[in-house]
Amino acid sequence: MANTETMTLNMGPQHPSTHGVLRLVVELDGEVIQSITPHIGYLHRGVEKLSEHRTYHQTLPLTDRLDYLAPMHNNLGYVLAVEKLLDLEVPERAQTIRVIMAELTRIMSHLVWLACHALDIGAMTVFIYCFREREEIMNIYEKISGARMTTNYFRIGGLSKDVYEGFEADVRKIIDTFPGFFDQYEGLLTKNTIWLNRTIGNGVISAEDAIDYGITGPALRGSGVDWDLRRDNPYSGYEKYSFKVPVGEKCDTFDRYKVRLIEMREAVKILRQALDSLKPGPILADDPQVCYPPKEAVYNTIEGLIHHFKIASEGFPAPEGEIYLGVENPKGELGYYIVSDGGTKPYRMKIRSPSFVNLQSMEKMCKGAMIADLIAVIGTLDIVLGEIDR
Amino acid sequence: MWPPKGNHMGLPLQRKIMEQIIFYILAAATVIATVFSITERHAVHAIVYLVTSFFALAVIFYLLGAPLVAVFEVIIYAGAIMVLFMFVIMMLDLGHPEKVGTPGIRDWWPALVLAGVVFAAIVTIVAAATGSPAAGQAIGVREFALVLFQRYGVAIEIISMQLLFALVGALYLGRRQGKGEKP
Amino acid sequence: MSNATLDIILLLAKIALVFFVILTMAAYLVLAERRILAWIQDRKGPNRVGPQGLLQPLADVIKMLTKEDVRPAGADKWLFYLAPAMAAIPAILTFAVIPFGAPVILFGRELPLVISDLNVGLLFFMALSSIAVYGVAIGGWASNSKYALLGSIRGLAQLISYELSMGLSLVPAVMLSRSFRLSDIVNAQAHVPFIVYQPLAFIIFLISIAAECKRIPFDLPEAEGELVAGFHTEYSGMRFGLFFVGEYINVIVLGGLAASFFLGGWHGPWLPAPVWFIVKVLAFAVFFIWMRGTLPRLRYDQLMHFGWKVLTPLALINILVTGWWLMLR
Repeated sequence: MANTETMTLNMGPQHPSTHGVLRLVVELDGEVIQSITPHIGYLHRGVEKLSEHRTYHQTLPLTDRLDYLAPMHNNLGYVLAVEKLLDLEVPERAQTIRVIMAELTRIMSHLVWLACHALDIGAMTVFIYCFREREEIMNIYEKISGARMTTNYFRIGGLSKDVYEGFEADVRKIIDTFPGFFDQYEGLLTKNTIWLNRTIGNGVISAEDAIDYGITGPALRGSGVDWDLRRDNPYSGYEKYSFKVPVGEKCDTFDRYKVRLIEMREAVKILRQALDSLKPGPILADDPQVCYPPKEAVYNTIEGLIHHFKIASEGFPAPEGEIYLGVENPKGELGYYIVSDGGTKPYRMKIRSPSFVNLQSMEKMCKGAMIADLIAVIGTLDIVLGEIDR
Repeated sequence: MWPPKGNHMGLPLQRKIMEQIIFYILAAATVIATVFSITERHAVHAIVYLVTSFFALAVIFYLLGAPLVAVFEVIIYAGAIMVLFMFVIMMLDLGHPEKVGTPGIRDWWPALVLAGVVFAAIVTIVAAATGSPAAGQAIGVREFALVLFQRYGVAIEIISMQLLFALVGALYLGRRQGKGEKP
Repeated sequence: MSNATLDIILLLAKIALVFFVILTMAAYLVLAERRILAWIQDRKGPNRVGPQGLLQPLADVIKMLTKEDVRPAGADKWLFYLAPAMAAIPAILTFAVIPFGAPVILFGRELPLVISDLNVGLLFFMALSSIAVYGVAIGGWASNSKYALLGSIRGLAQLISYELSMGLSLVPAVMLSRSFRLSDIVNAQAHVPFIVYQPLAFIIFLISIAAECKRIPFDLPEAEGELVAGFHTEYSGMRFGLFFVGEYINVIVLGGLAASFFLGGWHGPWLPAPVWFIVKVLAFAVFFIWMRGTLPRLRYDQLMHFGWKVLTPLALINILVTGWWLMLR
């Protein structure tokens, strides 16, 4: 019979809504999805393998390029993992600045998510608004590290340099203005019947299924699982801040949308607390074996230059052993698993990227839904191909 | 008379010649498009030819002073029925219709019989016709509606009820097939 | 010069004028849309070509004319080339029945400011809008692309569904004016526009025409997030341009119709009639642009449900109520 035939649609790698170079082979019956097969690897750069041939310091810039929408947070996970391996104590000021940058990154990543999610569903104005606000955070990035996307600002043992003058004022401005912008987005979306129709009941995945699939981050919390590494396994001094962990109920796209929006508001709260507790002090651990000397010493003294040269060319040996550390990235649990054989380079580094794990639940969420629902699910999963393909 | 209203389109004789020229162009278009729509193997092409034919036919109706029939020809036949045909054709994968061979004489004979009947009817009408047919009086919407809903009102109601039954029946059949086991 | 010749010359001049005005308006509507959207979205929009970007439409036309005219392998050549014209022509033709001003006296004769005041003008518009489906359907089908095919199937389903509610929402206007002729409908609103008596019909008509010209909450046939560009995915150069311009002509024409059916057409105080008409048309165009800046897109099944289960029954009830009201009055 002719009318029971399905159609195979190849979505991507060039498609406006696949957020990069994701390729989906979708089996369609009319517009109803029968099956989805993701094909990945179009952005594979071999980050894990490359790191085996680089010192611990040299591996750091590679991690910027994983989830390129949240570079600071990728750096954070990596430096924390190496610091745990070395058992290195990081000064308090460095920790606080790390939290500030990490939360700014969370807001930035969620802004891009909201922008693309809204654009996929057709709300064009929210897209532009979100990018307008993202620009503010990008400017802070640029001032603090010199780069807008591949920041490479953190260092093993602390930070590459202290914050610039006026940093606090810039962050205060964000704290003061952003909640208003979030209200603006909510005004355009949360009360919009079409938006509600498109997101409520879309891409449902139960809490058990979400855990079975290994989903993490806002997607897991949207399914009603109260799990946030910042609270449940604190790192970098997150235990000092009080914040709510939003949890959804209906396990659908709308709940995940609400969870992320509340997370942005909570991130602003954390920013305020962190900024209030920011005190002057050193920004790098006092461990000449591991940490780079300050720039004045490198430029002005022969000892400093030799010190710098030695760390840059040779690196530092890490004790033998293996270590896993997961951080709550904007997209979910980003884990670094490092095996050290006692040398100056990782013997093996495995990156557990949240997008990669979250992506596999797509078929579960979309089966029996329509093409438009698939687009909404790609948006709500908030995947980044740089992280999936590594 | 045509045009239905207004008197600014030249002398009656000129108008008559013009009307005749247009009529023959349209008649030729109708016949040619219809022939093509029959001989065309590709279903979508055939639909496009048929729509062309309907369009030309609609303008002929207009020339004959039946504007309402003309627009209904387009709205119903070209705009609704043919669109549904097209919808079905797009949904189905018909393979390669252009590779199917020419129909044999066995497939032709029902069409030939029908053509013979039609031809005989035309001959009879032409033979029985007395003089030239009266030039059509332009029928306005109001007159049309009065005749339709007063003189033939009961018939119209019965037909629409029948169509409604057919619609509900089709819906019922379609539903059952959808709910039943899939082959 | 004989009377007949003068008549024909005046008629041709009128057609040429309308044609020119509509095409220019469509071209500048594209620019207006980009500028207004940019204004809504807190950015600048095209402002480089000419003062305030006023020559941008010209630049766009040159760009589209000089682009390569690509035909995908395996496309149905004949229909692929025909479809853009089938999309643009019905839109332009519809304007033939829209009166855009009071009759004027020129060379000692009365010249109605409408190209052809058909006694079945409203039905003529319905006929052409039902034909406009073919451009979308055939364009998508002939492209030999799956996105385009999905887009054209969506387009077919959407246009025939919303045509129904559009037609039904116009019935009260016909009942009130007792004519299918557009100039009669406009003249019946010389004092009170029909929107006062028929707000519901007006809203249904407005939603339906938004769906008919495939504007944002209803832009499923070309949903760029889902189907890349829907039915015109494979088109390039001026053929794409025809689809594009056809859509904007449609906005103008449907805006003109909405003005004629519910807002009293060219009637209005102080200003001359054609100005009033253009103002009303542009108000609709701006409304559509505003909607695009605000709303997300519906899903296919939601769109169909909305058309069949909400708009059509509402329009039918509205007709019944109008009938009772006219009987009792």
